[in-house]
Amino acid sequence: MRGRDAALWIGLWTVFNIVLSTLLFVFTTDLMTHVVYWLAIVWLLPLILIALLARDPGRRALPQASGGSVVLALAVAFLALGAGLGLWAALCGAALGVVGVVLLVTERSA
Amino acid sequence: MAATQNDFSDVQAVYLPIAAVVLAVVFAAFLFAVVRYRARDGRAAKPTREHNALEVAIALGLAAIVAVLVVVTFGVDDDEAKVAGRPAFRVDAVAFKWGWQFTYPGLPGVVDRTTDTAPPALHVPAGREVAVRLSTRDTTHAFWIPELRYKRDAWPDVAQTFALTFPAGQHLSGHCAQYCGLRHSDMVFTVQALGREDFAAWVARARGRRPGP
Amino acid sequence: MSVAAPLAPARGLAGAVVGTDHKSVAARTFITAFGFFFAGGVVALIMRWELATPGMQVTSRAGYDQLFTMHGSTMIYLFVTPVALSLGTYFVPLQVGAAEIAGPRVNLIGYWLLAFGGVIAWSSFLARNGAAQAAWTAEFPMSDAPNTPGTGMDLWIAGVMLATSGVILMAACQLATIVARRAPGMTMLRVPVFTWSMVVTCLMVVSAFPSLLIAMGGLLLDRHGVDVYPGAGGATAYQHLFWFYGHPVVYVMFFPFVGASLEVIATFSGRRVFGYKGIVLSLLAFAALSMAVWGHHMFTTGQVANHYFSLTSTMLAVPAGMEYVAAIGTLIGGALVLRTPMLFAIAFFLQFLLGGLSGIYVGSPPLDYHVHDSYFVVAHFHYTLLAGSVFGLFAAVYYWWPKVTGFHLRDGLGKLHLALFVIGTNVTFLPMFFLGYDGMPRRVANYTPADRWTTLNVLSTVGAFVIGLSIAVFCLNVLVSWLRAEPAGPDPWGGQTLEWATSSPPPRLNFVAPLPPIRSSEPLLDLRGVPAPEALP
Repeated sequence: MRGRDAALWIGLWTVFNIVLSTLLFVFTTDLMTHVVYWLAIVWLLPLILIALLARDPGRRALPQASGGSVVLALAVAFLALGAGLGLWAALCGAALGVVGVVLLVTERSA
Repeated sequence: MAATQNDFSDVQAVYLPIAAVVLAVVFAAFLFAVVRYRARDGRAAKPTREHNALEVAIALGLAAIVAVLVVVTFGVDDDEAKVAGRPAFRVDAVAFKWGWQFTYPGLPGVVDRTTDTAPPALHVPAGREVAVRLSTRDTTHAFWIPELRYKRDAWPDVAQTFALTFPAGQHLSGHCAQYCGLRHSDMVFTVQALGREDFAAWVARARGRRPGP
Repeated sequence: MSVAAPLAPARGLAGAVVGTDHKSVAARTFITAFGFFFAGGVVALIMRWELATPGMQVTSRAGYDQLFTMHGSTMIYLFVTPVALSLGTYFVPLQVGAAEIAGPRVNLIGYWLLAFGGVIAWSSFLARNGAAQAAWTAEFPMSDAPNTPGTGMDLWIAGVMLATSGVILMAACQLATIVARRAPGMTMLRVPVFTWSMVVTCLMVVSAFPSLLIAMGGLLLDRHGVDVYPGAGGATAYQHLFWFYGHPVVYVMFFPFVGASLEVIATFSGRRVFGYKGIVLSLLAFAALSMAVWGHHMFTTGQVANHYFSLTSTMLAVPAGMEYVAAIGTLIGGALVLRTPMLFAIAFFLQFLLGGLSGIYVGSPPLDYHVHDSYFVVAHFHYTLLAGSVFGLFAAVYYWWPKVTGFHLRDGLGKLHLALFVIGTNVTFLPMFFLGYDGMPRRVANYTPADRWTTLNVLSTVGAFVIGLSIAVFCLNVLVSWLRAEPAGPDPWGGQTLEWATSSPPPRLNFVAPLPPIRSSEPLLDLRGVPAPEALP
């Protein structure tokens, strides 16, 4: 099934949110309150667009495994660990990230 | 009863009965269904039908209940937000890790403060509107007097004022209700809500004391 | 949907690490989340042991603060949220007739981010200053460097950000599957109720969870020298960013279980769910409202528009009520089979009600000014989450267990589990309403004999251990059922949706035989000739 009918429902949900965030103006003009809600709504718009353009890819080979994915996740984990453990962890993360991306590219083209 | 106590009871008097009825109706409906529609030999399930009008009616009924709750809430909330232009008494309450300091703008030099050995007593006249100006020296705390049914957060870099009326003859105490670290549970205070004569006597004694730290 | 023949699926330990089959990833997520459930549960039992009587008998104050922080964090970031999503990771592709989830590698990355994030958050216990101790909400400025110094807090932030990023990726994959991989004939209004509940769940994850990443990222920067949250406005800004995530997350931890419970009720009533269109509209309205209520966590701060948030919070009663109408309307007219999944589903709706009603109560600022940050609120959210959602979780578990594993869970042990769970949750949390109302603040390591809270706390502690016992019975059920497996077959319950039209467990690409024609939201009932509601006069 095409993405368009799903996009319509996501659009309806977005409209519900726009109504609620507009109602907020009746009660307050505090900047932060509005910003936080409108940022989320704005973020929904590209989602609707992606849904509208979505197509089922049809015949394709599905992966069975992806070592590159695990390595990439580990890389991001090390990057985050850098916050607690210091620069060396972040650098490990960067190195692993390169490995992970390379693995993923090879997997996809295989 | 005092102002915030009344406000609280007025709202609860609407909310609790409605909640109780909803609870009873829903439990009864499930119980009825489970007993009456238990699978029995020879009786098949009836195919589900639409009952759109019924659903809309129930939704509207729920919306009406919501409207009642909101109107009651808004009215009382607006009341509780009011602080008289000239309250009978003013208190400056400062929260810190981990205690309270109460000073009284009308009584310079008089301080009630948490010490190593005892929590402070907040002294106020009973039965009259007291404006409390709350602030914090460090992180967020909260000023909560459960018997008065009211609390307000002590917010960094800003002083907030709210109005409380303290009833005479009730044991009143206060707690910090916003997590603030190791001794959060120790940040308590007592309240002395004094009748006219006792309050005057306290004022006289307090003025004679040395100013606090 | 034809797909090229795959190579052999990844098996064994290697498969458990790198395998991309959505069913395998979902199982890993489920098991990981349950592991965190047990860890967080043990922490809760230690907390309850400490709080039973006045005085510090078991932990230090700092220790207690770390325990309640890690308990809440684990249950929300690492257990209920991921386990709710894992149900969708497994069953959304099956229910929409797809061979695989959309973006299987992205989904796998999501799982590992969650797993690594959880481990890193728990590693904060190894830090010199101990684990994070600023509560699961990490409110500012309590969570800043001067107030909560040390690496433990930084590790916790990193872990929470990783786990949440993982959850966002997994939700995005489910949403993409629903958008683009539905089988021919499955319009959005023929999507099963559970999958609809995952639509709104994933919409909330994708639009609200990034706010947590911003809040936490800002916090991390602030702890390392950048003044991200200055003064009064800064502290408020943090709470806006945090609670904009923090409210939708509790609905993410609720909707999947509502969806699953409604399907369980329909199946064990032998008829289609009542009011399908009403359910869809209610889910959408409920989810939209849930994005608009976050300020109700800030009523006592004096920094937000209390009226607006009170209005939107109270309005939640309407769509919530309609979900209950759907459940009751499905039961009435059915032929009810009261097996364990059905009993858990009914218990979910009944128990959650106490949480929901107390939620409407605290949605009124004058009432909240009293009970906010007290044990009343602790009771409220445990009724919605543990005494509510987790009942729905077990309904889903007992219902779908045969499909995932190929064998049954014992019904007798299941009913014992349920009974102990009902007793345990009510004995633990009902007293907390009274404790909070009487003045017991939350997040306190200690209280005094003069407070007169001991009796209710002892009762609550007893209840907590009964909950522990009920979970032990569940584990026993899993063990016994596995050791003496009763094979289940493809459709042990007379199911209505597509996952029951394939073997148990499903093959690698989910469906071998062609799918039945999809003409309603319950395709298997169409096959059995049960008319759809629209077709009846």
